[in-house]
Amino acid sequence: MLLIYQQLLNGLVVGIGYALVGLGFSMIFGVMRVINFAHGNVYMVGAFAGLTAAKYCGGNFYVAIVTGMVVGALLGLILERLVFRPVRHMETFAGLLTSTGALFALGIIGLLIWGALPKSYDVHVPNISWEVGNVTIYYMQVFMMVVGVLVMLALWWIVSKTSIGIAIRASAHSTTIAQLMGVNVNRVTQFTLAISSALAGLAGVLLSTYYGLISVSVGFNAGIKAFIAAVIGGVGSIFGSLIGGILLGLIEGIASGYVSSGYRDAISFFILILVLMVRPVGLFGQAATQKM
Amino acid sequence: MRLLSSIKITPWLGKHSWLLLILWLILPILLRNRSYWMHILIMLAVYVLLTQSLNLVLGLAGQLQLGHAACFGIGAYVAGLLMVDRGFSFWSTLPLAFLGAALVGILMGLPSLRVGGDYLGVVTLGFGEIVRLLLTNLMSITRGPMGLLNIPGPSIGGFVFTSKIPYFYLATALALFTWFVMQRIMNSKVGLQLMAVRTDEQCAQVLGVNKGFVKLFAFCVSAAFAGLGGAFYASYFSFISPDSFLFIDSLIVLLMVIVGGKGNLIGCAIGACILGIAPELFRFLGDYRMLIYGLLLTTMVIYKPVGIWGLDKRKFNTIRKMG
Amino acid sequence: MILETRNLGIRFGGVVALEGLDLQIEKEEILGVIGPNGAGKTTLLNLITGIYPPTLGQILFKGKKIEGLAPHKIAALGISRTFQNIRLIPALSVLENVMLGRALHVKESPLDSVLLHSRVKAERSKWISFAEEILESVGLGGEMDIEAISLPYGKQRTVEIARAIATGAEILLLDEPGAGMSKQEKETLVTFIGNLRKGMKRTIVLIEHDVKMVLNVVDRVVVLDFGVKIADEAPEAIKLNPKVIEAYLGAEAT
Repeated sequence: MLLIYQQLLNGLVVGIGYALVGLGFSMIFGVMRVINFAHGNVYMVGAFAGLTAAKYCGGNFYVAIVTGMVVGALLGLILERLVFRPVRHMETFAGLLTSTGALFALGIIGLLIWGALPKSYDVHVPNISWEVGNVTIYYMQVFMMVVGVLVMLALWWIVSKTSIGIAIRASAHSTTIAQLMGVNVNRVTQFTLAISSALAGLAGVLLSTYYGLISVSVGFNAGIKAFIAAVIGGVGSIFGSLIGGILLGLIEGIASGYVSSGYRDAISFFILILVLMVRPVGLFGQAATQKM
Repeated sequence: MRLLSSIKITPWLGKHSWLLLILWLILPILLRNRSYWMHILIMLAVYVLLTQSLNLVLGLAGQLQLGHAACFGIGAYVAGLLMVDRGFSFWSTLPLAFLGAALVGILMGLPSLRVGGDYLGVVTLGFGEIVRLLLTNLMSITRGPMGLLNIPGPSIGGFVFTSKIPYFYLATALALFTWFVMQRIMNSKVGLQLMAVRTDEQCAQVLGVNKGFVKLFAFCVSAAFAGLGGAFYASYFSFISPDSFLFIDSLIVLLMVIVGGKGNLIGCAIGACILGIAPELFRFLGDYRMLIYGLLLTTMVIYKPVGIWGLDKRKFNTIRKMG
Repeated sequence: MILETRNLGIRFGGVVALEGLDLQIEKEEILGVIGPNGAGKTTLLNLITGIYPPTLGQILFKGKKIEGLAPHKIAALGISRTFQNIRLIPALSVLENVMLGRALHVKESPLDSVLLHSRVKAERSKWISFAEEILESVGLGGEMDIEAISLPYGKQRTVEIARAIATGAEILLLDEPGAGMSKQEKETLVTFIGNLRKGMKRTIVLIEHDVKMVLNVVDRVVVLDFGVKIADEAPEAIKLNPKVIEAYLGAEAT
């Protein structure tokens, strides 16, 4: 019984990490109708950037977070300009392909800079914990939950209350109409990519701290998890991505207790296929948002 | 790119493509059967087969299939397991590998009835990963990550394939067979319907095209021929493991189709040859090759999405000459 | 009566695009459908061709209910259409585009395509001749082998109509075929539509913005405004109908 609670708590925390990556991914798809395959490696680069910055500050957690987010955002802006804007007008799955190219490029650059071996993620979280009943809750876990809620609130506020938020929603509906109404679509895509990538960087730092390990190869997996989280919750829905990520984390957490870790990855894919066959729009997604 | 199309030799080559074929067929003699180069040629033939098959679903039907390597792998495992566990001869595994991969193709194609575009790409990717994970974990059947060893080579009568030469001709035959079938499919009723679905699904439907059937057909046949290639691969290498068929391999074939020319069989073959040879020529680059692939993919899609020899070079009304 | 709608309606979320539409179309009739932008004309075509199902009401083709059927089944029954924005298939020739229209009636399975035995070859010959004849009859016989989208706009429109004819449909729904055409091209089009009815015995539903052009060729006019039918009369009467004039704000109806 105790084990279940511990697993659920772990799953929740990991799930929030998934939610953060998934959220950014979902935003990009919701606004730009494109799958950003490079998103996973933005996670990776952000995590490494955080680690590097923390090294100069004695492993400071908050420095790592801020650096991860800033580097992520910058990387997002670069991707927007080089990878997405040139193909925005193309009908086919061009964006997915160009971002795949970026995925490779980032992966190799990462290999060259940081090498292939996994590294210990020397970022230090305050060693505080609480005992609730028989379960131990750690600072990190609470921090993640708080971050999750804050991010959700911040995004909700941005999207519904600010002018850029309205511009985003208009562009998501139709870039042509949005442009006719004076929306600067470039600004919208830049903003979307910047925020999404910052979130990916944040997730990178958080989850790497949680696992204690980082390697260049995490990018691919992170990207896949992001996609699955977004699909479960409903691409284009902020709340949906949060729920999707958490659900994914919880299911994986429980499943890892019963099946071998090799199958754990397969489980996420099974869930993906299941959702796509039964309810493609996800739990909270809106129908008719597909670019077929 | 502009240079290639202005070279006057290409129309001449088109009419005398049989010369190229003859050249290809005598290459083993010209290369004095050196093992290293023979291996490259054989792999080129396999890549040509893979691009021709991927082209059906990617270039013609316009569906993003990122799990092609898994179809190849299923064919390899079906053939390999039948030969090792049940003593099947290579030739008798061919139709079974074909059908097994066809089945997987249909499964992979089912999501295309509900989703499209980028979304579908990641779903097929997911399928491919699931196949790989199943191959890795169903150890009692597949031997898991250790792979399947000692897969026998083909034999005709008493003659057993030992040196690379018979494998070369077999691979060439399979590639040519694939090309032949694809050529006929492209210039047919279903071929025209696939092109319509690729361009505008709604319009296709209004013209009476059953888009579901047509899409599943493309996925199924594309996978089936990949499976054929997989059977060959299993026998040629004599060893297969789940890691022989990764997502990266799907991407490489995809890149070959995109660089060479989506929707154009000749273009696909060109892409296969260029990108098939390149790793050998640029071996010294090591891991940097991935960087080149990435940049190449991005650049081609942005600046020359039609490919080196793509649909812009298509000959109209080939169907007249065939019928 | 070849096509009938009864209380046909559809809403998209909160927007009612069509409501309570009762329409009767007689065989070999040329029916014009006019109305201001957003009146629901294209929506009506989309419903008839099965692109989406109606929220309310029925559509009957030759007495059989067709609402909710898949578009390709409706096409097989004998209803065809053209689109407002010309939708020819790029990378295909003029002939191939028209052949595509006929494809649904061609008995050629994929296996046949690969084997290409004599029966299939004969079927193919017929298929190709069929498309060639249609193209000859619309005056495009000399341009069959060039890429369809490289033709000038007016001719592309003709190819699209030829493609719709090739489906063998008894009823052709033409969505603003005159859009972007010069006065001369429109006159040719009008004659062409007249011939479609007389020579080829098709029923035609014509959506148009150029009201003058429509009134010249149709037997009857239906006027939609905000998704509702506001008039259903002969062309001469439509010109004098106050509701119609009001809907157009006097712009083109006079």
